[in-house]
Amino acid sequence: MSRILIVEDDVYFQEILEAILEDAGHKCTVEQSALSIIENIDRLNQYNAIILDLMMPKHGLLQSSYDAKLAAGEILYGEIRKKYKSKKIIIITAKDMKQINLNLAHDNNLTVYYKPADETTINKLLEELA
Amino acid sequence: MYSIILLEVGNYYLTLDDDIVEHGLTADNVENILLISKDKFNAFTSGDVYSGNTVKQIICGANVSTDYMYIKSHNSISFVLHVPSFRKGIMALLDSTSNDQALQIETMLRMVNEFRINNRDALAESIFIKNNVGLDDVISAFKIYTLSDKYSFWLYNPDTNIFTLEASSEISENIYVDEESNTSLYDFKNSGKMFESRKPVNDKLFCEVYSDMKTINRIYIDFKTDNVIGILSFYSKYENMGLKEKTVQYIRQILHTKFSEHIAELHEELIDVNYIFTANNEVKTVNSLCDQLTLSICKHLKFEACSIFVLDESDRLVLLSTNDITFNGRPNKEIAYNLTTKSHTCSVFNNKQDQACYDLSISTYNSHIYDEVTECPSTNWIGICLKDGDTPIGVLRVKNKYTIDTNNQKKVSTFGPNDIVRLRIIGKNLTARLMLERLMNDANDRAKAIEKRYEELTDFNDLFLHELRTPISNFILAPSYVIKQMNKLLPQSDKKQKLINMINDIKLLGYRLKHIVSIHNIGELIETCHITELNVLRDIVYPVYNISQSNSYKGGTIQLEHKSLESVQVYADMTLTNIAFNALVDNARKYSIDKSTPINIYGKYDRTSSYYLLCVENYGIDIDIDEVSDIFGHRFRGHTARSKALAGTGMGLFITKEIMLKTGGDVVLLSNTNPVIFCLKLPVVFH
Repeated sequence: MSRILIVEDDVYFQEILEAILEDAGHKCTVEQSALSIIENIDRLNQYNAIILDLMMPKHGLLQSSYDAKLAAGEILYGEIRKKYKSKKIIIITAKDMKQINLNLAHDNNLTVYYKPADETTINKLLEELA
Repeated sequence: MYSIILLEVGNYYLTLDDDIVEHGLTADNVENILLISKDKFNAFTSGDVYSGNTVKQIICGANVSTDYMYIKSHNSISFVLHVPSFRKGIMALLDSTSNDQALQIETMLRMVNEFRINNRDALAESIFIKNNVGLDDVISAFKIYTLSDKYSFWLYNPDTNIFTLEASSEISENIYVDEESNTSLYDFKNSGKMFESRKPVNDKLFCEVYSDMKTINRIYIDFKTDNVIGILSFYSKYENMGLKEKTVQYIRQILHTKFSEHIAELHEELIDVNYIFTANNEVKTVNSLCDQLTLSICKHLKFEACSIFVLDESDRLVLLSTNDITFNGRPNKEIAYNLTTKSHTCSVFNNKQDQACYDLSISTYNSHIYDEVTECPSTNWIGICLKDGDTPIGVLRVKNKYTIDTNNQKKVSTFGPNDIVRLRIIGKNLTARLMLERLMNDANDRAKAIEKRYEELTDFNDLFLHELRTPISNFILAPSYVIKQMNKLLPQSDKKQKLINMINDIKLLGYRLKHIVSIHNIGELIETCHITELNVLRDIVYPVYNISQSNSYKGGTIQLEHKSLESVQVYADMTLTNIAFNALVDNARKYSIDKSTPINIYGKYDRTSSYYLLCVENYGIDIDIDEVSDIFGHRFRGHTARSKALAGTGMGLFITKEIMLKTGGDVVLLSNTNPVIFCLKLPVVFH
């Protein structure tokens, strides 16, 4: 069993993902705000993996203190990697690969899945988290 | 030994004698030597002897006041007359005391030949050998050769119906004349004569500088270039001093040649100006091109000023560029003519006709809205209408044609017909460049609009796809999860199975949506195919049938022929084949007019049994036989679909064809008339 943080702003997708993962025996926490995670980044210590959406609302500091072209999830990824070099991160995004503003090539603890997610995606995800 | 030679020139004898000939006499230096009318020698008979005084009186008249010293000095000598019969065109007066008259005659003939040769050499040198020989020089040489006293050469401009003075032995104030003027030039032009020799008539030009002349020899010359006609007049102070036809022809021939050279020189100047259009060493904006053009026209075509006006959006002629003695370019302050203004420039534009003015000082059309600065007083003007087809777009105008005189002073001269022709050619090139600029601007505007639209569409597409991708994930994953939970929580029953089937249909719909939003074009869609063994009824027909039957086919029914569909295994990509099959069912629904007749779905093997034909059959709108070959074309829509404004993009059958060919099958039209039958041709799985 893993402790998983799901960072996703779509409520329906949150619910389905959480239900599927919990059905597979994992314990999930759902978070919709990238900013609140950044503000409490130390608490990420408790999670084995973070499932991360990229396109989420940008509020407050996310708007004023970061590169405007970065999505909230991209900012969050950068902040997590500053503190947790080897934390497992799984990005499930509706962005196209070419639209992602991150250099992900050398991150061995990162997996990227592209939406729409289907049963194959979920099976791979479950295998990875097992 | 003394002798006097009288050389026949038309109705006259030209006096030559041995002393003059020996001093290199030519027609150029016989100006003060008399031409003696032939009439005076009527009484002479060959071989008669006359005293020197008698000869003197015949030649110089009774009242002798001439300085013809040769005759004076030989008053005491008697002459013997030899009439022209001994050599045509020559009469000789010989010393009667000489014993060897034969020798005298021989000597004189040599002198005559020398005179003739010298005279022709002098003409040839003037015309052909000297450098920078202009029309003026040539005509002047002919004046001497023909023993004329004055000359004038006028060019007729067919565009303006004006004669302009191109060359003259006299200084004249009249450098152009129009048809209203009192001149015989127009009469001669219109007479159809090629040559005339007569007494001058008392017209405007004659009174001015030729009043002492007794004969005019007028030659009509059609230069066969740009309809230019020349009229050359030689004047003589002697009566009946006509030119021989042979001489006239020679003059005409030489002038043709010289005029061709003159045209070639003008052409060179035109090339220099037109080089601006063709030089490819720099990309010019239309403004910089016009600046260079106005400058170049002034320099090469010798006008004091040149300006280009173009029509703006407010129907005004706006100055685009100008060149005069003070400025080249586009003035900072806007200069424009309202088209209603009475002015030469607006008149050219409004009448769509090139116009010219020979005297701006008296023209009522000289509006002075924009006067270029010139050294000489504003005198003449040409306006060329810049036309795109029949539509005027602007005016090219020039002012003050000039020449540089021998003192290096600028002097206004009249422009010739060729100036207008050259400006027209430049105007055509300029128009083409202006229109090209407009086309380029239009194209750029359109490109910008398309680019903007494309960006909007791209943004919309990105947003649309992004917003759909997450909900589609839910479409796919939620049914699986629900079914899993139902299986855990509910006992097995038919009702539960029906519910599960319905939920599975939603999942399949989700997969189809996923496929569509995951790709950006048909190429990518097809490239992602994954061929597996499929059951025709379960994997291809039902997913489409369930959704179509339950949701879309309002008022009609879809009939499945289960027997022919069951237990058939084919090779296909499930999602792609679903899309293809859905397109056929969707078309059948759309084109079935009579909803009471069901759409039939059935299958059969082809002749070889290698393929299975999954058929969709409907009754409705026939497909024209002419359209059968194009029915699977990109964005093809039959005329019935267009005329009845049936919804559709013309992409369904095209995509179906692409999918089926990519997955090893095909789609075929089995019947184009009722019932219309389309079939998916699927490779059969053999076990």
